[in-house]
Amino acid sequence: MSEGGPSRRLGTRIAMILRTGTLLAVAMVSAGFVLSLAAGGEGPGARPIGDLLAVGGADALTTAGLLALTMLPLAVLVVAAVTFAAERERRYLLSSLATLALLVAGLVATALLTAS
Amino acid sequence: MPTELLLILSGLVAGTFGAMLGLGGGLLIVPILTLGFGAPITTAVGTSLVCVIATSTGAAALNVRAGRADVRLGITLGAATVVGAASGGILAGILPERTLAGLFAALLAYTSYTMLRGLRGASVERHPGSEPDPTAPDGPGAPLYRTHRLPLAWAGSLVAGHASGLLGVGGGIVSVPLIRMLMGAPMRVAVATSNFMIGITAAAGAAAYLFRGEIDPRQAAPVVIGVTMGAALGAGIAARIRPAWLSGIFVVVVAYVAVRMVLRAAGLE
Repeated sequence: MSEGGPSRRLGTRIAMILRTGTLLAVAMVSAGFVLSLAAGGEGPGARPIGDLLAVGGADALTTAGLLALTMLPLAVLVVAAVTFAAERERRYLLSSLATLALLVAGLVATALLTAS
Repeated sequence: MPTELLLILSGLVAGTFGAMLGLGGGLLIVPILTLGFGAPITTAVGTSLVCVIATSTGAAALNVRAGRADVRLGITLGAATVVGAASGGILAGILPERTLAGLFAALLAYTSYTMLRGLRGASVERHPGSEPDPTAPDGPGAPLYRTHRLPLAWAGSLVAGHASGLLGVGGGIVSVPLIRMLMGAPMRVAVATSNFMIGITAAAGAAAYLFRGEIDPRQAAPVVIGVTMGAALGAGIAARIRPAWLSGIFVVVVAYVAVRMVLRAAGLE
C-alpha cells in the first residue's frame, strides 16, 4: 500500500455522510431524550427493538436514533464501494464489498435468531 | 447533580479520551455504567458498543475530511476485524476466559513495552522506505508516508477483531499499535484510521444488542449525546497534540488494560 490518505472525492463523500448521518441520528436521540425527560417517570427499560418501536413515543424515537447510528458504518461502506467502482479501484471495491457483505450477513443472522 | 447530567458528562469524558487515542471509549463506558450507575453488564456492553460507533463516526467525520484517516487501509483491515469479531463472539462462550485474558494481557504488555522503547529510542520510527508524516506540524508539502506488511497486518487485524469479540475490549487497543509499529504509519494516522475502523467493527455487535433488547434507551441517550460531543473534542485534540505525547498516553492506557487483564486471568477481578 502506498496511500497517504483517501482521495479527495472519497474523503469528501465519506465525511459528508458521516457528518450528516451522525447529526441526524444524534438529533433523534436528543429529541427522544428531551421528550422522555419532559414526560418524567421511569422508562420501559431495555426491551427488544421491535417492542420499543411498536409502542412509539420518546423511547421509540431514541431507539430509532440509536439504530440509525448503528447503521451508519454500513452507509459509509456503500458510499465507499460506489466511489471505488466509479474510480475503477477494483482492489478496494472488493474490500469494501466483502466487509459490507460480512456485516449484512451478521445483521441478518442476528435478526433471524432474535425473531426465532 | 441529576443522573442524566452525570451520564452526559461521563460520555463526554469517554468520547474525548476514545477519539483522542483511537480506542472508542468502551474501556471507560462499561466500568462507568456498571460500577457508577449499577447497570447490568450486558446493558453496559450494548450501550458501550453504540457509543464506540458514535465516537468513531463523530471523530471520523473530522479525520476523513482532514485526510488524517486512511480510508482505504481502514476498509481493507476492517474486513479482517469484522471476521475476527464474529469468530471471537462465537468462541467467547466456549473457551476459558481466564486463559484468554492471560494471553491478551501478555500481548498488551509486549505492545506497551515495544511502544515505550520506540518512544525512548526515537520520536519517529523509521522503516525501510517509510517517509515523513504528512500530518506532522512540519509536514506540509512533505512526501506521503508508505505503509508496509499488509498481509501481516491483515492477520493481526483478524486477531484484533477476535480478541475484541472474545474479551469485549475495543479493537483500537490492538489496531493502533498494529498500524503504527507494524505498518509504519504515523501515530496520528494510526489513531485516526483506528477510529474509522472501530465503528465498522462495532456495528454488527451493537445491532445484536439492540435487536435482543439489551440497551436501555433512557440510559443510552445521555451517554451517546455526551460521547458525540467528546468525539469532536478528542479528534481536535489528537490533531494538535505532539505525536510523542499521544504515544505516551497510549502506552499508559495499554499498560492499565494489561494489568486489568492479568487480574482477570488470576481470578482477582
